[in-house]
Amino acid sequence: MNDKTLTVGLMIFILLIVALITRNGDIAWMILPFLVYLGAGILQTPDLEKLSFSVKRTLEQTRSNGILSIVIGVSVQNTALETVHLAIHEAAQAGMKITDGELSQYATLKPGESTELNYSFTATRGDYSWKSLRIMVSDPLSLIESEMILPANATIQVRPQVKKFKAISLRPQNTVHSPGSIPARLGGSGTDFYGIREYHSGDPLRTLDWRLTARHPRKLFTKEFEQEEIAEIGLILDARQRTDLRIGNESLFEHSIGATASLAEMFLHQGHRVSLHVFGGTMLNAFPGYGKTQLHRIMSCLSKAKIEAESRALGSLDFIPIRMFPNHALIIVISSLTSTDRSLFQRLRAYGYQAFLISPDPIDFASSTLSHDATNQRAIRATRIERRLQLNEIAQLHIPVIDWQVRQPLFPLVRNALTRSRGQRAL
Amino acid sequence: MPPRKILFFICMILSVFCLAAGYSIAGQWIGALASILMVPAWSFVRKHPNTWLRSICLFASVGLAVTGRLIGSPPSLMICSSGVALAVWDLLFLDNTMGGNSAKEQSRQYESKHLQALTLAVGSGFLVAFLGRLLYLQIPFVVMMLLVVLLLFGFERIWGTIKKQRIH
Repeated sequence: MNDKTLTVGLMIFILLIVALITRNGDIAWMILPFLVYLGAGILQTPDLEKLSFSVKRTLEQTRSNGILSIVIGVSVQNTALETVHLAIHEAAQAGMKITDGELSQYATLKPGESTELNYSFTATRGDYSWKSLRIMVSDPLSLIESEMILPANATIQVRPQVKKFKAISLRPQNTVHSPGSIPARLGGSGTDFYGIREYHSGDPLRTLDWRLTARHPRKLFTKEFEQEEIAEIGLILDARQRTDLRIGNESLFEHSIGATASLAEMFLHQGHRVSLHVFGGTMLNAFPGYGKTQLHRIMSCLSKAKIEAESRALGSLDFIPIRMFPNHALIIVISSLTSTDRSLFQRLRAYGYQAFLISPDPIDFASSTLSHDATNQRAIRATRIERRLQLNEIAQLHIPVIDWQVRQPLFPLVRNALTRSRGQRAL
Repeated sequence: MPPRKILFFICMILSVFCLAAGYSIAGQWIGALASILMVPAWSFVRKHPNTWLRSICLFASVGLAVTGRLIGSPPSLMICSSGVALAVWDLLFLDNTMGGNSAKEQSRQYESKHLQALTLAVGSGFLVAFLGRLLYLQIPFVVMMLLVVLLLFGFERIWGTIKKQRIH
């Protein structure tokens, strides 16, 4: 029973009582328009058993970068043999912002007719899915309404925004034996001259060093070129609640997500093998892979990544399953760090990984919101010192560290740090 | 302007006019003034549709009609006023639910079907009420009470049937 039916019913009842008390026939006749109104509604109430609809939900795309509006269309067709009055109600999900159109639609559909509800929205990073559509079928006066939930599936993934980085020429300690762009410090087929060795049977004749061979009449020499291979890169994204900082609608974690997405895109574009581990309340993994498919996997992981309260057992970075990354990989950790996280870097070094830290600066991120009184200034200074000491400790392990103030572009910092000789501090 | 809004203004003015005329004929100037005050009340409710105020306005309109009849205003004007107040109240609901949603053909059909059903229901209600007034029936009070009880039970049964249908 909806508000309208209740009000009309109550009105009829009150008028009836007043008519009986005052024994006034005219008041009794006043009831009649209300009674006929209610009766008309009741008589025209559709029989749910005889109703059937065909619902289709269409999305322009299944993936979005979160900048452009996503257009969604819901089409409802009346497949029953009688005319029906209906209201389509669509619910906006958390994180969605409607930019155009309406979320409800009222229509009268004759048999075979259809109506469409179209709206567009922008959304924050994440997975959005719809399983059903709620429609309210009623009489023409909307007195007796019946709810119907009809299946209408659709999903869309809103991915993090990627800032495209230019290619960076890496010099990792180890490479994967697969043709790529990184000089591998090994002789073989390549473009850059690497050295000369004695001829082995099977060497192509075009690589013979004729000048040296001429000087040694009884020996043949072959020129060697430096092999160019790909790098093995592992990305670790810290999604622990304790390392996130949220100010208004802005989150430090979202900056980390953006940085991870940009790095993954850059490395995969260069042909390297990249893997990802998101460490937090919900662990997400993208195992090592190449190319566009891997980029889709990584973006999918990043769009699902969210800050959740982690259990006490997963509170420390020590619990990262680092052996999921191939041996001697270059591991890039994106974390704003807590005071107990140094041991992860010791472990990485102990296992022979080449590590690299990008640490979004929470102090700089928060300082703009703090008042500039003397107490705050002292507190900020003390925290900065503490953070600097922590990053220095990590840098002492010969791990390049980027103290990233998130309002500054990341690319120049990464380029400088990755192209600098190994073990040198980028802090 | 969509037809529902035009009809809303017509019905509101008609309802208030009937009330004010009825009270004026009976010489109740305070009642006439109170009736005229229903115009700003309905207009206010139109701007704040998602509140219980619209039902209060309906009760106030019908209350004024009942009071007017009890103090001797012409019954046809009072019946007319209360019936049209019902239409005003219903049109407020319609305007609120449709909002800016009447651009499509199916939405226009929905609106026109609603207006047709409303006109038919209120019109037939008036017709039956005015025809009924021509009849002179003297029903004993006990029989009247029994009829009321029967009516209530009838409603209860109808409601039960509808609920059953909705569960299916």
